[in-house]
Amino acid sequence: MRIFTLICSLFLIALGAAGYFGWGSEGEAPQTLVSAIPGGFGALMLFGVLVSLQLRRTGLQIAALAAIAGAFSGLGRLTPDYLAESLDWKNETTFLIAAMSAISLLYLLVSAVTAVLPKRPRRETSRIESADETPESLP
Amino acid sequence: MEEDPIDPGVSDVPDEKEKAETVASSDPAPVSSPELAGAKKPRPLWRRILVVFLKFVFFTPLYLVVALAAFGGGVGWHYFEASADLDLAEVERLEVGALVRDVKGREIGRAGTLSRLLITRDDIPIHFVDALIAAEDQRFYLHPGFDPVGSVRAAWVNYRADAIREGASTLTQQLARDVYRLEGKDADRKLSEIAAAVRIEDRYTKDEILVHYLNRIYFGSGFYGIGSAARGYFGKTPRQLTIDEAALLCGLIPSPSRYSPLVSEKLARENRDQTLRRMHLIGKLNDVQLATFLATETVVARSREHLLNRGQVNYLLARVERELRASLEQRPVPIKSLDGLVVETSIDLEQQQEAARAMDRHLEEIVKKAATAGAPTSDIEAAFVLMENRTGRIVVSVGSRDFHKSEYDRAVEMTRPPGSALFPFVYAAAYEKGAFKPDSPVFDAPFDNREMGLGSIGGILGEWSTENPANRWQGRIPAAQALRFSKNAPTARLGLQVGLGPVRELVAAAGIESALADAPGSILGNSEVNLTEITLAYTTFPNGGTRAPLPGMIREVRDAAGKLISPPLELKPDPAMSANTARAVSESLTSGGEGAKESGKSGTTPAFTDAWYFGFDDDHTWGTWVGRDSFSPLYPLAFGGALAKPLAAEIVAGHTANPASGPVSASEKP
Repeated sequence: MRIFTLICSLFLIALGAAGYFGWGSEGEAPQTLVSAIPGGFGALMLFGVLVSLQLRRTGLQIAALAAIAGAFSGLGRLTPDYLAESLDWKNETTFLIAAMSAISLLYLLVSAVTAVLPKRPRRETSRIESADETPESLP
Repeated sequence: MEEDPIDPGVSDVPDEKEKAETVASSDPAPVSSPELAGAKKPRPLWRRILVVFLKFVFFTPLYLVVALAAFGGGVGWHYFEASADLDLAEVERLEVGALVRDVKGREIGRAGTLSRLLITRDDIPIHFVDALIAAEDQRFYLHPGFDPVGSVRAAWVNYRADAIREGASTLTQQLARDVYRLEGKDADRKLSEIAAAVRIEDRYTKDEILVHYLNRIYFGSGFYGIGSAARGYFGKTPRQLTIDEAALLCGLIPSPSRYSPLVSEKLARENRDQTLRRMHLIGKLNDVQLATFLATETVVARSREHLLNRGQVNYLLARVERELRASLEQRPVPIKSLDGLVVETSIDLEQQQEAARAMDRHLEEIVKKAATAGAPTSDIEAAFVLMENRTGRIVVSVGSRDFHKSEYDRAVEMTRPPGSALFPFVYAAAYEKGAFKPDSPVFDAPFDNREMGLGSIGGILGEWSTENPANRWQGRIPAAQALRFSKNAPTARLGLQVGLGPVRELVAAAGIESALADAPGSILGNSEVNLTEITLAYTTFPNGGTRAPLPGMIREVRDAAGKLISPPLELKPDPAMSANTARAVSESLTSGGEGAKESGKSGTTPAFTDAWYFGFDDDHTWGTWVGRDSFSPLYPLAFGGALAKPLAAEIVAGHTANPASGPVSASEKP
């Protein structure tokens, strides 16, 4: 899960960078930090990954919260345009935000799936081999 | 898949027990005995359930709160981003407007500025600010443009009262709404308003916002801005307003058209008192002051004549602005701003105001008659239009008894059934078709008017009834005579014989744009038309069969550089009828016979809901309507000839005695 979190966070950071240095810098409109927002959520998820190296649960909770914020803020940003039937998929900002929401939602979906999948059988030696592979706390 | 950030039940590392185990594992002599492996006792069931429960209770709301906050933030992000396109300089930009002059070159006022008297911060007394803040936005100096605390409080107050007692819009939001014309109550508009308000707060100081707000806001009865309202209601400058006057003005802001003291003294006072109590509540008035001001009578210190005159000025400016904007938008390159334009109109301001006063006097008499007849006395209204036959230009147009009380322009916006005022067009259609001549006999005898779709069998126009109590059935009479005496039964027979089609075609060619309904009752004037268009149609008779060009008030418009940009006159319309027909009908409408200077026709609807009169001479045509806004009957036997004709006669007599003879404008010169 940590690897997947890392991948998602890097995707978001790349998206933010592409938005800010790519699309955001094109045209006559001044470059704004708005295009870099996906990168912000990606950075937060990356922070969660780093925290999880020491505090697994806390780190992944941070990543999950960042994903929730990214997914729902993106949806909130797009909803008024959607309701007004003025959503323009060719618009770079729309694409950027939709991609951010999609990545965040995918991460949340995978997380939710792992929650309901059967846990891996506990290895007897895991507790003393690695702090990362602790027994599940739930029965 | 070893762990899951969504599931609160996943394990974290290292917990205390695991730490102990890790320490144990780092021991140089690791012990892997079954005793040690079994040292970790499983938690008791109750404790595991408690842990799961607590995690659920903690994490589920946390995720929900984050999701909702993020969604809300996203929506706010959208609106804030959209508001970046707003031009914030608009807040301080008030149009200078177009200078409007009457036919004699007298200044009527400025169209497009809403007759504001601009003020500065120094002109606003502190007690006015206190009253405004108490009434509209108690946390004005604390919030950043929108007020979540105020919104929650308003929602709570409204919930408790089960009614809308408090609004949640801050002064800045109201300013944003006015500047950017954000009308409506849907969420989209509201959020746009909040985003705009935040940007305005970012750009302007609170005092600047206050001044711009007070210069723009509507105070009812045609008064925009505090300067105009203080002058209009009390004949004072804003600095001279007393506390109770300030409270009255601030109290009417939520619904100025209803709460204006010129519309309803009772509602104005109730809202004044509410504002005073709020001032007391937030500590701006002590108990004694509150009691004193509550007992004070706030008097609107203007005479009725002054208000009527002022009302006509406001009415004319609003009407000219509407006409001007419509014509400027039709130009190849539309002109949006009225700033700097000079507009010469065909209106005679003096006669306009005299017409309004005459209408006020006549309606007072009609109200008395209604009271005597036991009919309701409220909502009796009238409208009057006088236009030039040659150009269609309007010299006098009164759309409401008192513009301060009702801004509804009954001369233009209202449509009502003209009743027998439509008869001349029915006869004209019959003459045009060749089926009848003025001396052709028509049959004046009982007529079941259910054939006309009127539905009634009794009453003045009912089955087996004459249309006037004094009349008798006259048998065969010439068509011209039937028209002169406005005979219903012969007209119905003649109309049915001619057919509705030719009547509708002729009426449309004469300038009545409101389509007559496809029902026989339209022949007897059952279809609704408006006063100005039917007055225009009557110009057909003095003009020899061709109506005047489309009516308007504007004669000439020049831009700031003096360049003529007048809307061109409509090209001469196609004739609606032959000159012979027009002459024949005119003669029937001329009570003094051939050679008389004035002709006219009254109109009455079957249930006496509408009384009309239309007259014309060689130069002008005029129309009058009297009725109720509620469409209910005026009172029994309220004929157009008795109600509308005398009113028209007085106004036209004033016009004839003092004809408007303005300079011929450049656009009118051959």
